[in-house]
Amino acid sequence: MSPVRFVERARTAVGSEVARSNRAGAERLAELRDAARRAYPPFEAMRDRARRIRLSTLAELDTHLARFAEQVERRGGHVFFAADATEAVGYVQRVIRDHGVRRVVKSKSMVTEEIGLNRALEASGVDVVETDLGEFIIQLAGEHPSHIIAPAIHKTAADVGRLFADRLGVPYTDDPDELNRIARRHLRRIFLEADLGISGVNFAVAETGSICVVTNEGNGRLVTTAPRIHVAVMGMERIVPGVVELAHMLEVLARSGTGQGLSVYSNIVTGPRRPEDPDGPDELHVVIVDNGRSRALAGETAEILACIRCGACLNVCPVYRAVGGHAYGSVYTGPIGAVVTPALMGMDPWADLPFASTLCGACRDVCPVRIDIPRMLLHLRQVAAEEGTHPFRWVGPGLRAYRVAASGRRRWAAFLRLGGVVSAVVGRSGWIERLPFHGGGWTRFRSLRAPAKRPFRRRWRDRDGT
Amino acid sequence: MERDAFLARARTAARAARLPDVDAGPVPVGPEPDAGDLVEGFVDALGRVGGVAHRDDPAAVILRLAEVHGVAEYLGWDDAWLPSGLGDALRDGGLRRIHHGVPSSAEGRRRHQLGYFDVVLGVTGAEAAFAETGTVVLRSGPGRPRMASLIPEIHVAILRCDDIHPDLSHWAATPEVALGDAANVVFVTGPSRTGDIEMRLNVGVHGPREVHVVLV
Repeated sequence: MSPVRFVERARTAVGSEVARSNRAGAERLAELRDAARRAYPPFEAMRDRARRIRLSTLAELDTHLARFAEQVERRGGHVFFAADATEAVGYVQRVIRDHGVRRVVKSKSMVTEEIGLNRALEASGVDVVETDLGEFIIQLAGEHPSHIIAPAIHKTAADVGRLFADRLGVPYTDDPDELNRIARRHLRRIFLEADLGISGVNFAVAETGSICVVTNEGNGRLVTTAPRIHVAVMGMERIVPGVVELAHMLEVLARSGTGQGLSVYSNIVTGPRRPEDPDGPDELHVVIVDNGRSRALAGETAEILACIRCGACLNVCPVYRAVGGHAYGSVYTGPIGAVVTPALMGMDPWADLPFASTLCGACRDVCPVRIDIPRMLLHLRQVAAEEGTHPFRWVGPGLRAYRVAASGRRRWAAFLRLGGVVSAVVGRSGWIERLPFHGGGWTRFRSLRAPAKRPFRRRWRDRDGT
Repeated sequence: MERDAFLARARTAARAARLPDVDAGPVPVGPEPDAGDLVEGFVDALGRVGGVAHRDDPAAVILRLAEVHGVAEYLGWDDAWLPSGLGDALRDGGLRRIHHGVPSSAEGRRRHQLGYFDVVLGVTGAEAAFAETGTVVLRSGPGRPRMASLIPEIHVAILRCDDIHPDLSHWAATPEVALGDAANVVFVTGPSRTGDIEMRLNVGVHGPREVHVVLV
């Protein structure tokens, strides 16, 4: 079990200001995606192709990875294969130490969150600045992102204005335009002076050794252009075979994430700056991270590695909409997080996340690669039950008791009569206002119809002879 | 981890993966989109993403922008990568091109790049464009700094009408793509934007706040 269980975190989150603004943002993004889908009929067929690309690549992941690494090196880049978070962080720290780097700029990346890179670098005295506007706000506030593609979705302009006034020493304003200008000027100097830039990777192209970083703000370009050294950190599943597949995935990612035809900047980097190039980094390091991915790949959860981190499943999920990202307690949130977190990091302490779902299937309906998330949620629930990490311990005994009651005619009749007794005791008005113990969840926000005083079987037996 | 051990572990995992069946092999590009007029399509799409298309003399467009913003210099690609005569016309119009070679030494690099801090105007060519999305394709190389389309407030790209393709996927299927030939290829679709504060659209957060494409 995680230190604080999902249900408890969710209880705190529901109805909070954070969850409310989070919900508004999620709904807006879901609308944008839906509008884009309607306006562009080929999108459904594009999803089928995207699924084919992702799954067939995963089936031969090692071959693509080997080819990618070879191509990066051929063009003068360095490649490091990291078995886990410790190795990945250690490598980045070595590069920083070897080059005497003091200041690092970063563009938004889930995998660096996953391996805890910022915390480790800051602990060793390196100044790490997040440059995505949302991430920058979150970093200034000392918080964690609540949404994959809109990390500060829970902050109001007034919150940001107070934060900037407080931390950057500028006059208070809640005008988003002005806040934007403040961030631009503040971050620009940092960009132009930084020694090393760290980016994530949306897609890596095996054929050419290229990495592609997608942003709307342009910080992904600055991070990979201005500093002398560029370190790209990627989950090992980010691979696509060639440029044709890259093109297709970029089109699908933008439409699914934010309803754009393409993101503003799809920035493709192939090796460090060439001898005659007027700008760009002199050194490129690519860190390829496993950190549980080969475990997730070897079995029932393999499909989850097809995820392209568009965030569409979060925006439509009724649970995510109600509780927001923070309630999940993990870097990856929402339906995708409920699968990917235990799949990568193991059931302990994440066994309760697969239960944070109504299994309504909205996530599968919107997924740009049609990942069957509910299937894997069920699989992980089964694993939790078998391992004994099931968060609702009474469910097993409860179901066993039910099996006893339901597998004999007399026992079943007795069980049904029990309903009449319950009715007589707590449901005299025809409604049950409150159930005791574990049943309490069902009646917290609504009343239940009380069972009939006489079971149907009894009434059937006693019916008129007609 | 040693590369071979890492890849061996990945191979074992991929063999054990329970993946739904899909056809292997290369994925075909989709059907030709309704072609229409590629130029018209591009102009419309660029407008939708907040860019501005011009069908005018490039020098006139750039000098007008320089005048409106009161600037006398620009960060741009070398003359050889722009329509012939444009570089001279800009010089004659009183615009100076900022030197763009970033030195390799850490200190030189820092000092040079800080010189870009307040650049207002950037001028580049464009290798290709996509009518569906209003995107222009820029490839870095000698005489073609990446910064020219990234740092300035205003980015002007000069595009030949013949270089407009239906969409990214169709361009990607042509042999001219050759990603390996350049350290950087970027697809630019309108001005830099963010929705990070209250989901309200805001332009020019890190990159240019205005993107102008001059069709020639």
